[in-house]
Amino acid sequence: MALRYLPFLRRNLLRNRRRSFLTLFSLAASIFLVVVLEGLLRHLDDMPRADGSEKRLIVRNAQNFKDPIPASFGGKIHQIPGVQGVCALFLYWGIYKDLKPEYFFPKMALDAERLRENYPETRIVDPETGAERPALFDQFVADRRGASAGINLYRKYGWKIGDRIVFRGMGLPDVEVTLRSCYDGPERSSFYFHRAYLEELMGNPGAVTFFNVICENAEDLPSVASSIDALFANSQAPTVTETEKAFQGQWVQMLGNVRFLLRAIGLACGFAMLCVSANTLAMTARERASEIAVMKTLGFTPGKVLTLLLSEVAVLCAIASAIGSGGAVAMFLFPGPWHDMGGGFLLGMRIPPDLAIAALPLGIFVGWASALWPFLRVAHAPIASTIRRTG
Amino acid sequence: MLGIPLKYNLRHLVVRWVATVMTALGIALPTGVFCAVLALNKGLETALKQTGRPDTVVFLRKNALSETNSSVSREDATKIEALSDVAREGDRSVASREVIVLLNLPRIGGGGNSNVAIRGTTARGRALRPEVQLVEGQWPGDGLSEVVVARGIANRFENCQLGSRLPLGKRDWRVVGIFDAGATAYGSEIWGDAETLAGAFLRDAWSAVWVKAKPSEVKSAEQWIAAGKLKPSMTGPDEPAEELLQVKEDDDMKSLNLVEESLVSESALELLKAPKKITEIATLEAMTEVDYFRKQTELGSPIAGIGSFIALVMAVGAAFAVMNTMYAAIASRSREIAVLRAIGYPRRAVMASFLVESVILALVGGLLGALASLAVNGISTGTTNFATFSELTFAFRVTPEVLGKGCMFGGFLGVLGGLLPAYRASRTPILQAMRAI
Repeated sequence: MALRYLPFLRRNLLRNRRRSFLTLFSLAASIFLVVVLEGLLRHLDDMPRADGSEKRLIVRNAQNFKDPIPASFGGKIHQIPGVQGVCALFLYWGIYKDLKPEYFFPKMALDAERLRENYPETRIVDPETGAERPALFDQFVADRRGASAGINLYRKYGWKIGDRIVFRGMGLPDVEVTLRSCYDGPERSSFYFHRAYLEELMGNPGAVTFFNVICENAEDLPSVASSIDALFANSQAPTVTETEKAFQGQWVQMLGNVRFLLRAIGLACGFAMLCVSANTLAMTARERASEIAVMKTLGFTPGKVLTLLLSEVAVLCAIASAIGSGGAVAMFLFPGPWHDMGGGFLLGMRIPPDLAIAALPLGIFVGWASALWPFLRVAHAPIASTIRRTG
Repeated sequence: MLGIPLKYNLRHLVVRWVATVMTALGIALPTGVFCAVLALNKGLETALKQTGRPDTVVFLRKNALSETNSSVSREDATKIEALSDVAREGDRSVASREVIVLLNLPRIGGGGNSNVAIRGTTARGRALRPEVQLVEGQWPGDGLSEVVVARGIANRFENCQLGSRLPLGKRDWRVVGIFDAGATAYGSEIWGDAETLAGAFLRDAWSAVWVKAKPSEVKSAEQWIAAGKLKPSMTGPDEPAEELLQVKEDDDMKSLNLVEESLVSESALELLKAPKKITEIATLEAMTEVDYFRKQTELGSPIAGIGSFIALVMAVGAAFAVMNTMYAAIASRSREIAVLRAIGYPRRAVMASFLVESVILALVGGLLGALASLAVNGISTGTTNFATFSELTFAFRVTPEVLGKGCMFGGFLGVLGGLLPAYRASRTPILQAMRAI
């Protein structure tokens, strides 16, 4: 029954192609932004969405993220019941090429041989094909001055296995390492090299920025965390142990009240969308007033006219939503300059599918909200006076 | 040839006021966001670029970029202080050995934690930075576990209010004072006594050594000009150099730059070369206080990057909206356009007229957006300065420049959205349009 009106919808949508097109893209731009902003919030909420993160803890200096803790703590942590593996990391502050945001990525000196045990979800891959190549990892472990980088970095800087990478240390020794391995996984934008090598360059201070602790059971995390902190409470460097997720969240908190900022802008976008579509639809309604009067003369009830008009809007908004949210998904599917914005926080960002789909009802809702008033008016306008009007 | 009167466009905008308002709002929103981003950048820039004096020199570990990454051994610190180009007061050099520690603190009212820089400094260190003024309480006593907190930090972080206790290291430190540092980067710090802090944190090296360069021997502006260090346009010739140095305190960035470029004294220049003299392999680096803070802007602010991207996408959407409105306006006025052409207005004039209409429409939106952005002016907030890895407090600054740029942004959207419709209007076929109903 309803299908019989499809040609009517199609014709009306294609009647003023330019306007449909402009409205479409103007709405799509807003939908795109809303999706990206919401995706950003989600990305910041739990980045990285590692499958293994629910079993991991991060131990850091209670004072801040930067002051080191003694490497000797590692052995003591390992003895705590429930702990499966401990990987010591030193956050290396060094400049790759130039002090520019586009050359910024996290660099970590760590216990390479522990890497696989602590991050079981990462795969060792060939940087060019993306196919698994576990042999590369052994080459990384075997070379004291070797390095492993996330596949995103390989793509972004055009690196190849065997390339020499030099970092100018910021208050730390300069580091020159060779790319031996490449990894892919939920997180794929960091740079790893051997902690033993950096220790040697620094004169063996035995300093560690974080311990990454993987536990046997996810349920043990709270008790293990409190045992670790209790163990070092009276040491020279009291620690704070938190889940990997909470720890990652802290980096975002450092940006300031980002959540509020993004929400505010998202709201502004939504409002802009409302203005744009209300304007277009009001113009449409005005122009079609006489033709709607004709339809009503032919026996269409105001309710039916309204239904037809609203379905037209729904189709338009649905297409706009599909373009906007599809564009957002596509954009973040491939690494590009947009991932560099935000100084590395957007690396590895993806638009979650449920969010992309949720854009559809949102778009239609906004369309209807803005259409209701002008369309109600024309649908219920007295026939005689409207049919007489010209343009 | 006269153009089509502006009144024609203005009247239309008023008659079709619903479309005008809606489109203007569509432009106002991206403009507002754009202005807010500019104001944020301006605020961050002000905090970092307006800090420092060209005759104060900081010694850091080479490539450290910031004090938080730096360490200067006690031996090197002694050698730095002994440099002949360091200013003296009596028999002591005007130098301050300082230590920076970061403390992860909770923000007031949620919003998570951030790292705040705690500077261990000295009385001389305070004298090196006259913009830092105590507004409440007192300075920390030597050897006591006491700190003073910048007002911007006290307002935004827990445990930082006058009289509260700040858990730092193994003990609690008493907040004994609140200081104000204007819009400079020092306004994001907590200050304590250098030796006490270094002891509490088991630091055997300093983070940095700050020194004042010996004042230049040139005394009058005339001599400055003769030495090629001052542009004559900057001052009357009789003003003493001392007063010129005051110019740098101005809010005006331009004068700051000029003064800075021209007034870096010879002693300061010598000091910049000094690291090579101190250590055999140059492990140290020296820069002026001005450069030190300016360099920190190079990493950019993640928030500003995201903000610009958002404003850009919103602008694209708004340009489409303008186009839509203008096309509709032209379609409903095709007879008028034909009449205008028939009475002798050339295509050019029609095109110009519609372009102007679209720009006016957009400017109204731009102005609205720019004015709306004034709502954020002066709001003080903070973000992490990734160069120092610590909180940088700043206030949004909606300056006239920001407002101007916002209006231009809106106007530009008008041109972008109006160009094609205006061209179409100029091509209206006269006869058909006249005959159409």
